[in-house]
Amino acid sequence: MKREGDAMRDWRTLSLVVLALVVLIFIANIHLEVRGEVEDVEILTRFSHSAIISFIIVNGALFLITLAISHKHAKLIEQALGTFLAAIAGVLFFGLFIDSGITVSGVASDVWSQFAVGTIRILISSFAIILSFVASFGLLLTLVTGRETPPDPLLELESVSFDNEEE
Amino acid sequence: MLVEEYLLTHYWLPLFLLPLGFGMAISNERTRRLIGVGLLILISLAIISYPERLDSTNEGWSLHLILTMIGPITALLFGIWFALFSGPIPVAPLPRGMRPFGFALMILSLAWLCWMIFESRPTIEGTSNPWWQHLVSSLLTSMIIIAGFGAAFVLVMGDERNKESVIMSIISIGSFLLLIYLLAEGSSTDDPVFWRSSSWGVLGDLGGMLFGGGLAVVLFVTFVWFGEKRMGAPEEVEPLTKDESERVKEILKENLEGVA
Repeated sequence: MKREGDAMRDWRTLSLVVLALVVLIFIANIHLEVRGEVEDVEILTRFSHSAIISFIIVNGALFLITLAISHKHAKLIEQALGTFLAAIAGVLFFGLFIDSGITVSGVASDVWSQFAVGTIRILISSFAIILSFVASFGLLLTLVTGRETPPDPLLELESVSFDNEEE
Repeated sequence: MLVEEYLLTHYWLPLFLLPLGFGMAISNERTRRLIGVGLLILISLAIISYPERLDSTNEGWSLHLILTMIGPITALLFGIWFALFSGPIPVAPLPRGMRPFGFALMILSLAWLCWMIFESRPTIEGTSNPWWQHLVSSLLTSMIIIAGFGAAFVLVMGDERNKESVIMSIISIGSFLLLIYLLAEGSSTDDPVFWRSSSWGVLGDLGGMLFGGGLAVVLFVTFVWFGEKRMGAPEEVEPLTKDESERVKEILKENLEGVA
C-alpha cells in the first residue's frame, strides 16, 4: 500500500530516469565526436537562438489564444498585455543578438533569415516531439488497455431479481 | 532581406494565425467556434495552395518533409486506432480480429521509416531534403527520452506492468542504438559526419526549446497570478431583506405543499 511521500519519491525516480537518458545521449554524441570529423555546429549559438525564438513563439501563441477565448466577463488584461509585451521584448532581444554578430552559419546574417531558419528548425523539432509522443503513448495505451481481466460477476446478475442464475 | 510575398501569404501568415484559429475553434461560443473552424480551413487551404516549387525555399522544403511523412504517420495512427479499439475495452470496440492488423500497421510504419532513413532519403529530382537529418535526429532523441519515461512510468506507477515496461524499454533502447549507428556508420545516402553534426545541433535546439518555452510558460503563469491577485476577494453578499425573505418562503411553500 502506498504511503504519504511515495508520490514524491516516484516522481523523483522518473525525473532521474529522464536525466540519465539525456546524459546518455550527450555521452554518445561526445564519444562519437572524439572519433573526429564533426562540423562546427555552434551548439551554444543554436541553443540561444532556439531559446529566444521558442520564447517568442510560445508568448505569441498564448497571446493569440488569450484573445481568441476572451469575453466580456473575463479579466484577461494582465495575461494578454504581458504575453504581448514579452513576445515584443523577445523579438527586440533577438534583433540585438543578431546585430551583435551572434549568428548561425550557413544562413544569411540578416535578422529575418536567422529568425526564419531558426523557426523552421523549431517547428520540425516540435513535429518530431509530437510524433514520438503519439507513437510512444499510443502504443503504451494500447498495451495497457489490452490486458484481459476476469469478467465482472455483477454482469451475470438479473436486473430484476439481482440473483445469479446458477444459484 | 525582403520576404517573398507568396511566403508571407502561404506560409508565415497561416502559421502566425494558427493559434488564433485553434483558440477560437475551442471557444464556448458557437459563433466564435464556427469562425475558428473557418479560419483553420482557410489556413489549410493557404498552405496547400503553395504556389512555387517546394525545392525553391527552406519553407517549401519543410512542407515537402511533412508530405513525405504522411505515409508512415497514417499507418501509425490507423494502427493505434485499430489495435486500441479492438482490445478488451467497453468503448466502441472494433472486431477482435482487427487487433493483430493494428499491430501489423504499426510495424509497417516503423519499417517504412527505417527504409526512408537507410535507403530512400526524401528528394526532389535528385536534390535531398535539407531538413531530413534534423527531423530524424530530433525524432530519435525525443523517442529515447519519451519511451524511456513511459517504461519507467508504467513500472513505477502501474500494477504488474512488467510486459508493457519491457516493450517500451525495447523501443527506447532500439531508438538509442539506431541513433548510435547513424552517428557511427551513417546511412547509404549520408556520411556519419553529417549525422553527428545534425545530432549535436538538435541537442542545442531541443535544450533551447525546453529553456525558452519553459520560461515563457512560467512567465504566463506569473501574469495569470498577477491578474488573480489584482481581482481581490469578492465582496460580501448582503443578507436578504424582509420582502425577499417573504418571497423565498412563498416559493418554498408552493413547491413543498403536499410533499410532507
